[in-house]
Amino acid sequence: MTPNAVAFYAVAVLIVLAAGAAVGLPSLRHAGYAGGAVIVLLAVLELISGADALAVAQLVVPGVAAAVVVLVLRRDEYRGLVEVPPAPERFWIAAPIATGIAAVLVITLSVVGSGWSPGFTGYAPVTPSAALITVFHYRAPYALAISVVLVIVAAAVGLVIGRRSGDEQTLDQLLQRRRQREELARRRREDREQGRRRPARNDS
Amino acid sequence: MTVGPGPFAVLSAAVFAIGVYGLLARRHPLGVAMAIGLLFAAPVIALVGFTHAIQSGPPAFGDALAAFAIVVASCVCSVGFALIILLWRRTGRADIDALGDLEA
Repeated sequence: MTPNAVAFYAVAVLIVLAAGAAVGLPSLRHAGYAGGAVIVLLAVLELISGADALAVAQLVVPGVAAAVVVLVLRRDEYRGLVEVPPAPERFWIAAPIATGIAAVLVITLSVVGSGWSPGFTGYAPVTPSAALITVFHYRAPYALAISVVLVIVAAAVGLVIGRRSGDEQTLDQLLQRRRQREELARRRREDREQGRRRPARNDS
Repeated sequence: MTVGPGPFAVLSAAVFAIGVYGLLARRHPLGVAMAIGLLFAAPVIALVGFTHAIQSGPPAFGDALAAFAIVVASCVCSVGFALIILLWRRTGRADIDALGDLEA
């Protein structure tokens, strides 16, 4: 099923706007909302194109990953990661390169017309004769298997990299105690110096 | 009135270019991860368009490839996020330039 032109262009404009907001907004929180909107709009685009199962995958897989990210960022120790003031962006180098890539790709794809490949004779609205699940099950089981393995490996690697090890916890506790000791020593030193100054003032 | 693969390809190119901009301009690692997510989303758009508009090739293989790309993008961003929180814990900074300060 090919999408209705009006619906396609409406969703396409929204996708471009949301993508621009995701990379352009200074507030990381707002940029995250825009990134979420891109995911939802991509699912809508797939839905109106007739790829229903793909739309579900588009919502579920990044949705689970985003939920884990949000849960981690809500913890006190990582809250500062989002609230840190934005660093100045490298607009001067990014804008010309992105504009050049956009010009090359968009102009090339716009003028290519129906010449996508030597044997291609034009497009016609079609409905894929096999569902995504069927393709995964009968024709490309390796893709499904690799996807499952990839998800498991990524989750394991993420946990190994992101978790706080026992050594790191011990080191944090030691550093905290050292900071407390240094703070206590500084206060005592200040008290002693104040104590020396007072009698000197009384003598004069 | 329906649309062919061309508009899908143009939309894919536009999203890719926006992702490139974010990748180069952003200095916060989470912003860079979002830009990489956009780079991965661009081919998914093209695959959906070509699968559902061109009457050639095995049906729905493009959808399978797009689903695979979605899974790969999510895995890459998850591992990237783990690296970001490790960087935050080690350096206390949210700047990709802080990667240069890490000791081996």
